Amino acid sequence: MDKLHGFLKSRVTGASLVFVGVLAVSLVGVRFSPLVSAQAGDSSQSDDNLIADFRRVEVASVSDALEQLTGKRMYMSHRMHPIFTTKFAGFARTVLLKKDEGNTDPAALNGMLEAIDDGSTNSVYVMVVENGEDIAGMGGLMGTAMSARGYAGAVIDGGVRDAASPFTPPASFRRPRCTTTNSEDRKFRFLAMAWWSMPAISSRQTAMAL
Amino acid sequence: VVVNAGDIVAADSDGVVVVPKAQAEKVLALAQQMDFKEHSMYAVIEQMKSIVEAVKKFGRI
Repeated sequence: MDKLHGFLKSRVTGASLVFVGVLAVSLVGVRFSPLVSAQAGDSSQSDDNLIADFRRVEVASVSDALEQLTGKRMYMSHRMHPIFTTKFAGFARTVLLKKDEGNTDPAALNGMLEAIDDGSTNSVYVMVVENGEDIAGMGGLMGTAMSARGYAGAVIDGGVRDAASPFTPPASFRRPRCTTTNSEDRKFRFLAMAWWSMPAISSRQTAMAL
Repeated sequence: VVVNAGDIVAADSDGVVVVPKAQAEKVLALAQQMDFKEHSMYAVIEQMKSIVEAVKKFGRI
């Protein structure tokens, strides 16, 4: 849990340290539909096809189509912005990280971790961090887990850490290519993978409710 | 925007959109038509060097 708490720390303010260890997962995908349950294990062919087709159309067109058909605007705040150049689609795997300052239970985050381990190639991790504007709700460890499980992407209403690279890798480097396991290489590998496989989008204001 | 588990979330540089699962097929079909039409317009705009003409021809912006 030390490592987990380590990346949950905000790199922005010392005040966030106060929140470390006091966040609790109050809701972890309790309403997964059969469709999503199915894709957690053996994803069905029709789900795969549906998601593959959504990945081929422009998000703006999806938004326009939805608005034309239902009269509703279903796009998120402009404050949601991609951390990496990205395009992805998948089934939402929803987590709400609730602020709970009295909670010192080391198992408080287990639901969140299990939710990540249940996802697969058609999953998009969607998380709201309550009052999370200065708290990194996701970082390198969670990102690596999602990347390893083939997640399509992540949308975080809150901060994301471990995403900053000291340099922009040249195009030829933008692929995972390290096979060694020292920590520097692991970090680079994650960054490289993140570039392609683990896009995250985050916001500093509440744009979603679960 | 409310996101329910199992909804389809699609994102790119333009933003993030949430498609309720029940509407996914219909929304996808219309989005594909919109994409097709819009992409068809690019070539026409380039050829005519006119967006006015292209909008007249395709009946949309």
